Amino acid sequence: MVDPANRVRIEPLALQGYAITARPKERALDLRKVLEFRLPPPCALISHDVVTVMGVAPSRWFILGTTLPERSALQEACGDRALVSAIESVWQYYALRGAAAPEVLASLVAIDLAPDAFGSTACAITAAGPYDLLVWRLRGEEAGFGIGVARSLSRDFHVWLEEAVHFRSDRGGRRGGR
Amino acid sequence: MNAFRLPNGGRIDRTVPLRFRFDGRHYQGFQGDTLASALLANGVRLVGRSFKYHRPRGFLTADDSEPNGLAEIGIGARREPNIKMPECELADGLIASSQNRLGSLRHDLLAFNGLAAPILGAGFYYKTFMWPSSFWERLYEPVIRRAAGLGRAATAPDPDVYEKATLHCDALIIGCGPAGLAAAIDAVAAGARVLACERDFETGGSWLSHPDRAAELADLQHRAVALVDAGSLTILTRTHVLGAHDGGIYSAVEKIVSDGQGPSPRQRLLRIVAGRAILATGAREQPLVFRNNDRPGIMLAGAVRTYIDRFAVRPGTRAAIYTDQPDIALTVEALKRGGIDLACIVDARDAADPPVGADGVMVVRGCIADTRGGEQLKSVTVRGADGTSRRLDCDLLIMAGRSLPERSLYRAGPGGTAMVAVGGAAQSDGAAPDWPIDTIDAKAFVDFQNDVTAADIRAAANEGFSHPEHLKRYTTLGMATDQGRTSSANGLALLSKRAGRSQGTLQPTQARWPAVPVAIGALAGHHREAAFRPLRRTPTDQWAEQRGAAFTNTGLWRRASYFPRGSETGWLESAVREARAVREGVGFCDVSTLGKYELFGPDAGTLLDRVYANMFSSLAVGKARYGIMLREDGIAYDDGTTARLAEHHYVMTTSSAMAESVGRNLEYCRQILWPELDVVIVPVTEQWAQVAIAGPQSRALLQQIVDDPSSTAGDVFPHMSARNLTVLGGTEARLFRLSFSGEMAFELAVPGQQGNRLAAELEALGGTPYGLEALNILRLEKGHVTGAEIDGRNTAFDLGLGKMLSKKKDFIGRRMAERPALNESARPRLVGLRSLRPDVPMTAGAQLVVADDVGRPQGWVSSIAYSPAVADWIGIGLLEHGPERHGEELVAWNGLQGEKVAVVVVDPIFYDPAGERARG
Repeated sequence: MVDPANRVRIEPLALQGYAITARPKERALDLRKVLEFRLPPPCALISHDVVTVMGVAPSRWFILGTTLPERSALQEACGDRALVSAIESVWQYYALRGAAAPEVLASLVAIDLAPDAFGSTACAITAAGPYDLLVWRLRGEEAGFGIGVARSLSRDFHVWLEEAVHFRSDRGGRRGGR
Repeated sequence: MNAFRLPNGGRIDRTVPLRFRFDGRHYQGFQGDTLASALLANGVRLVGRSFKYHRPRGFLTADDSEPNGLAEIGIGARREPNIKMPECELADGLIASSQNRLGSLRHDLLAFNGLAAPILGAGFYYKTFMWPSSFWERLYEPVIRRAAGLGRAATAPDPDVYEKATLHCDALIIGCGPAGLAAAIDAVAAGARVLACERDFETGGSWLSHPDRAAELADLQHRAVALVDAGSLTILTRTHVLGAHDGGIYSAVEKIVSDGQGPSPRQRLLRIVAGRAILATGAREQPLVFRNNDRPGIMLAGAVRTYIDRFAVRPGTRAAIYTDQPDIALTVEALKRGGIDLACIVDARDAADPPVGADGVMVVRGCIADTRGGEQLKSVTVRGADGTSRRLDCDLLIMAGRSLPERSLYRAGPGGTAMVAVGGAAQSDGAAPDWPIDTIDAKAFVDFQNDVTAADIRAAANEGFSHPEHLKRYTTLGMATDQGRTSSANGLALLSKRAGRSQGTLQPTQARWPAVPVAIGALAGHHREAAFRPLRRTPTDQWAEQRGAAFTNTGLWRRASYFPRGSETGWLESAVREARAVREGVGFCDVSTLGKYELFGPDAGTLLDRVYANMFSSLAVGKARYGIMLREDGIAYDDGTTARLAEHHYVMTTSSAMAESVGRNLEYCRQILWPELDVVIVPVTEQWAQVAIAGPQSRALLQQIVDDPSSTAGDVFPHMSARNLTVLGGTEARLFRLSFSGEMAFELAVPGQQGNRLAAELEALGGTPYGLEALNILRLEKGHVTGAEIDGRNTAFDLGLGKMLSKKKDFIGRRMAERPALNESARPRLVGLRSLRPDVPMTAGAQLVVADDVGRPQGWVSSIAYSPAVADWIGIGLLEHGPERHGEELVAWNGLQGEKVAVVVVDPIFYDPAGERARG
């Protein structure tokens, strides 16, 4: 039997989201008046209350959260230096939680998920077979990850993810030698 | 019955008996056995037939280098061939069968091949079966394949599932013998994140069969397990490292359940990213080459020790040892523990002292000249250094040859040389073997798995194949599933002798990935069925599914093809009804699959001007325009509409098929060709559910869902307009007045999550849903081109879009499109086609020929549909001098089905050529 604490769970995340794409010469975009914190560099994220801001590429950020400022407010703050576009329908978001969640995710993506390599301030857009994934570590959770997958592919991806979870749930957590 | 099982000792668990079947007979082993050890314990010595000559074979080794003991494991769809029995962990209920035989293993009818051995040597196939050439496929190859080969692959789909995973570590330890375990413990102590892979189901390596080292091994294992429990070390048993690749990446396969057993996943293909790799794969003992050295009962010394001390099995009752090594004490001691009578030691060395451990045993200086026996070794002929011969009865001949470091992974990929070897893998390559290396006997086997003999090596050398790679290909030495682990070194030694090269100057051949055979399923991993080619679902997919739509796959997209109603009998009836609904009332269709990109910045218009053949920087805010892109060679690339939402903000749509390609091309242009442009590109295809609302009643329907109906009035929102607005009570939306159907039409985009809701609302308000089939009818009636026409061969000129190519600006493809050859009227150009046989459709793809002159096609049919507006089958296609041939009668010839349909060439616009209906 698998310790329930080890069982990996997939939970849908209802998140709003915006993409901010700055014009080439506007990398030092400052949105602190609206977001109350600075924009992180690529592959890094900053979490603040219910808002998470991720640097997903040079001059490109995702803002995810359950409650977000109006897009128009963000666009106004950005002026003509950046385009704010809604992405809540671009991605389908999931939380992957449980002691073996890193193992499950390691069966899908190639990134190093060790806490010191992919810590609480890390995020990545990476490939998992035919899927492009947005991956980040959930705030305050060592074995909890946020996953975003293109909405149009989310149904098949969810089946795949459930299968990967099922494999690990059969076997529990860490493996050792005899 | 375990007649050859020792009463005590070994690492097996005698309290856990395991039942298994081999060749239909039931046997019993114990937990901790391999299939090989369990068979030996049951007195089964004959376990296979050789590859070419079908000679009886027994186990040579006790590890993954076994060349003889290969079996098919499992039955039916789970049958897997060529499993090495010494590395097959015994499991309860395991079913195994021998392979490569005709009849039973004892009475293999193909054993007559052995009689023909003198003419079946290396090179035989290359010089024979040349005539008549037609016999090769019909006779020679089938017969040879039947007579020589390995196991049978399952013919049913593999029912097991597999997966892939990526692991990261600072140090990868390959092999968990004593050196590997010690290295792993040290690496953890140094603060490294360590992953250790062991091919066996138990760590310990050679010390598992070394009673004197049992305490030390237990201590090592205990310390390693403590580190595993603490989370500092990961040990993967049953895991073969397959290769070393660039950038510190290693591949491995982990067996999760035993062969042919149990639940899924069965195996996992690992991609290991390691800062450093330590090779602790130990050393491999090499056989000695002499006449008839392949009979069941002739084993390597290390294998004998393993069977006795690890598995508590007596592999024989009376033994002889043939050695060229100075120390055989371990083997002699093991034989004593196993209760095996040691009759004689044959020392091939030219040394004054007998080998260490030979005390009290008869030692003969000389060699083994021959052996006798059929299913089991019965005697050996010993030839002394003085030339005398004697026969010695024994059922076990132990070959105590040199051990060579197992470093094949060094040669199995570009990353191999970055590894550090420890333990047995770090020892020197050693000297030449001391057995009589000038043997040329045709029954002295070098490569047991491929039946390559010393005579074959000589033949290759005589033919001039004196390079190891040539030798390999001429003789197949080392080409078997063991990749020459027990044959390459001896083959090189023999070749060196024949070629007059000094020992060590010939290097082993390139090792191939994977180092051990891998199930095809493991290579596929997750990527099968839906996960191999997942479907993209549109934002209205759920609604369409509930609505009973028939779907079709276009590229990765699953799209509604048509929406059948109860009384309708087929797709055509539904599609025609839907098309009529658009022409006469209002219909709506999900067009979300169109690629969508936002371009933002002061140079957005400039970028569009350069990628599109027509002008966009002059487009007014709030307006949309149809555009066409060319490739650099002047051929049409893609088309679509682009709207200007603000001074520096455009929204581009592409065709569904080219969405990804155009997106990549846009970024290439922005980042590589013109990095000075101040513009960004944001892909937004997934964000928007876009629905075409078409028909004379489209505005009326639209105005029921927009929050401000006046914003869509004809005077404020004319044809080719675009704007942001809200619908359905505050939902952000974008509205474009575009028509692909020829009717007054709009394209409404709402956030994707609202797609199902939007579709349901539109239908509830009276809109008729229509699918791809009706969409195709509508666009063909208007002569609009799609991917079937923009197919990588045609120019804008060919498609009747030549006037769109701007003369005022430069753009991609302009110069090449101006080439005279791309503007000749003789080129195949767009025409309309009507069938001259009522109700008989032409075939899309059919060739257009004059009368019956099928030898010279003059064009082709690109798209067809039944047109309710024309009340007949229509089509469009490309025809030489097309626009000049309206009214001409041709034949649409479908050579594949042998169909010929008479057609007449007409204008490609069948419906409302003035375009008045679209403008409203």
